Amino acid sequence: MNRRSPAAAAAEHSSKKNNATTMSSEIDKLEMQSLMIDTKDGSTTTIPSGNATPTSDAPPADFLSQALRFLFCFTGLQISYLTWGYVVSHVSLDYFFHRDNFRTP
Amino acid sequence: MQELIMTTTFEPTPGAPDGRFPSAAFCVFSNRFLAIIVAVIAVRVRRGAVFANNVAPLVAFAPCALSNTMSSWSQYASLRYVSFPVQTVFKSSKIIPVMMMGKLLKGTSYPLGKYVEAFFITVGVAVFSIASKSSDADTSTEIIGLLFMCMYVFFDCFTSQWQDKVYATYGRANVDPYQMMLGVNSTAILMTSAGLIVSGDIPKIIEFFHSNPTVLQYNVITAITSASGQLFIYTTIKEFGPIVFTVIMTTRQMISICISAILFGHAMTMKALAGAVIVFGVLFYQIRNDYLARQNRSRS
Repeated sequence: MNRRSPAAAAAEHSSKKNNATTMSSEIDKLEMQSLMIDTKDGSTTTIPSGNATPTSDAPPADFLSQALRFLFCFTGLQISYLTWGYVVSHVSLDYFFHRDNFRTP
Repeated sequence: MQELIMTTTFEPTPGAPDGRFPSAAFCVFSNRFLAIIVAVIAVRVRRGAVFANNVAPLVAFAPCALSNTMSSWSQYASLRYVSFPVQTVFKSSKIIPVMMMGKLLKGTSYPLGKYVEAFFITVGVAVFSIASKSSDADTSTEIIGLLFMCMYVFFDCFTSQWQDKVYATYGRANVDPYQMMLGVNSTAILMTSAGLIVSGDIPKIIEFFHSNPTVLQYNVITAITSASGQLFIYTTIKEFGPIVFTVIMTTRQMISICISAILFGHAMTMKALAGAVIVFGVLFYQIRNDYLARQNRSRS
């Protein structure tokens, strides 16, 4: 979509009445942009408006759901590393470790 | 089954007379290669384009790709010169260096209590690991080995803290683990390829694959587990930060030994048990504090 200045948009708004809805949505978008604030490091953050749902930047303080996510990550790491360690140490793929130095429990 | 796999040896080739796979670099290369394929597909599906919709530029991932390569290189280099207990102590002592690296890279300051807790976890894991693993025919520790170990810890801590910094700088909502995976592996594969070309391993590898086509399947399995491991690493760092990640990685083996001891009724030595009690005590204490703090926050 091409971006127009508010003045041009307003001028067109008076001449083309059947385009009114698309115009107002574009003006809305222009207004929305002022809500985007540039932070020091160049990333943009949006000021949360009344009914906005929180993004993952601020996780909800639900202890159980976080515990479950933690368990998921932990199990995932365990399974990946156990399988990896198994393949590397038990198959003759000694290229990673010198076998005399690598022991499995 | 295990005996069968353990006795698997490959057809010797002139480039690899002992029947062992001739190149470590190639295994790293194949891991990186599969990781890139997985990441490209995932990023394409989730973001609509492979590179166009990335908030974080590729360069942002280069430092941790470099430090990642350096940390694994120095770890393998150290193995010849460091005794097993020294290795164990270094590997379990990463939590405090990670905290210090966080202060250095991101200016995060941790209260003294956190350092004390980290210290106790370190001691517990070290005691447990030394007590529960046997070490036969040990290598003696040399100064160069300690130097390699220090390098390994330094680069490892840098890697996880830098990844967290990328998430923090570009917004956790804007960078997902797949993009992290793509960024890190694209840079790392360049270094690995350069290493492969410089070392002149390529003809040896082709020759080895030619006489041992089955070795490819092991390569694929390690690449798959490496890719899934990476995804969980990036997810854990994103969701819980580098310190929790490091705690998981240092207590990982201890926890699996404990679980199997409970499940199969293996006996554990008193020393190992004491180590485990310290670690689980501190972890439980931390979780309890975190829980209470959350409750207070939601109440006020």
